[in-house]
Amino acid sequence: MSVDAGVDELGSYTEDYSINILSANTSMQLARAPWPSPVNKKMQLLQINVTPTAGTALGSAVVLWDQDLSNSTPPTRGSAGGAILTFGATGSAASGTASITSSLSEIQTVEHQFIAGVAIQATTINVNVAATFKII
Amino acid sequence: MVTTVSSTVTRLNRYPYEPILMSGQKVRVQKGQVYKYFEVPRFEAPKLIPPFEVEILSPFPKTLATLSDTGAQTQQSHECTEMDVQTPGLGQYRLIALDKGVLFELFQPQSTSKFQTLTGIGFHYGTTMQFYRNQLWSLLPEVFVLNDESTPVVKVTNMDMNKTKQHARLIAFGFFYPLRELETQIDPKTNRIVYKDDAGNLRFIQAALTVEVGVKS
Repeated sequence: MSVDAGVDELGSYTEDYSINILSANTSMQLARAPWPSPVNKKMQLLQINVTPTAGTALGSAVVLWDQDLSNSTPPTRGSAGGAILTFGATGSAASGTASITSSLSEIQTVEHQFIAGVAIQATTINVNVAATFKII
Repeated sequence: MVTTVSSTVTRLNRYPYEPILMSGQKVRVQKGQVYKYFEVPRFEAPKLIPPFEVEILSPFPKTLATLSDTGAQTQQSHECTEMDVQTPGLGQYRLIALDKGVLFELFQPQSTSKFQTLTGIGFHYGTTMQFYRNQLWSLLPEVFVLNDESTPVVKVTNMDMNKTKQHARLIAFGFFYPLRELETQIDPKTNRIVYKDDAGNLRFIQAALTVEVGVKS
């Protein structure tokens, strides 16, 4: 991970968020961006781990888009049907065994920025999504 | 006269962080409209204040509510008595935010923002740690304290809408200057400020640093 104060934009720092998806095809919030005053910041995805926590989650698709599900003030970009990033919980983990099957870092993901927040859906339950964001 | 107050850029506000006063040098400490003259006694010397942490969410556990998208933010504040220094003495501190996602605002006294714009300026990990790591220490927030009479107050706001915070820590480091108060008076012949030296002779104050501190509220 290349995230480090001293090499990034002045005023930026990192935050980590995770979510266990226990409801399929339902919009959930991985994190809200700190857009209100006096913070006024946005988020940039640096690293994401998508982990099926049960074998039944293998093959699940995880989609991300830019939306604050609790407040309509910040502009939305994308939707569940028009995601701006898609990841797959693929792999060969045995049933009941957690295994990181997708782990993408800054240099592997598109440098998407989220103004409002990170909304998320998965096509199956039992998917854990953990991500590091740069707060800019 | 050489003047340095918090956040004022002077020739003293330069790349290395080193004491601004040495033995025998004089300082004019300004508290609002009131000031006093001091000197670092010749038998004393500035002392290093090594880095120490100041927990604003004290005592543990204390929770800082998440950033709100409506209404006023829920802040926590702390009177930083940890930064008081021995009497008579002057403390000079530079500050670094240790915990990410916490906005720190420094007040001295409690109702006056230290870093002056109309509404005050906050600082956080992203705006201080980079300066520290790049050794741009002159760009770190600075505060002076006189004895225990000008204790800074720090207010914190959570910068995260998702998680509460259990820590909001600053790192403070700097120098302690032992002081001796000078008895001053106005010389009626010259209308200049004079002080009595050790031998009881009246002497002009040739040059003195000015340091601004807040009044304890």
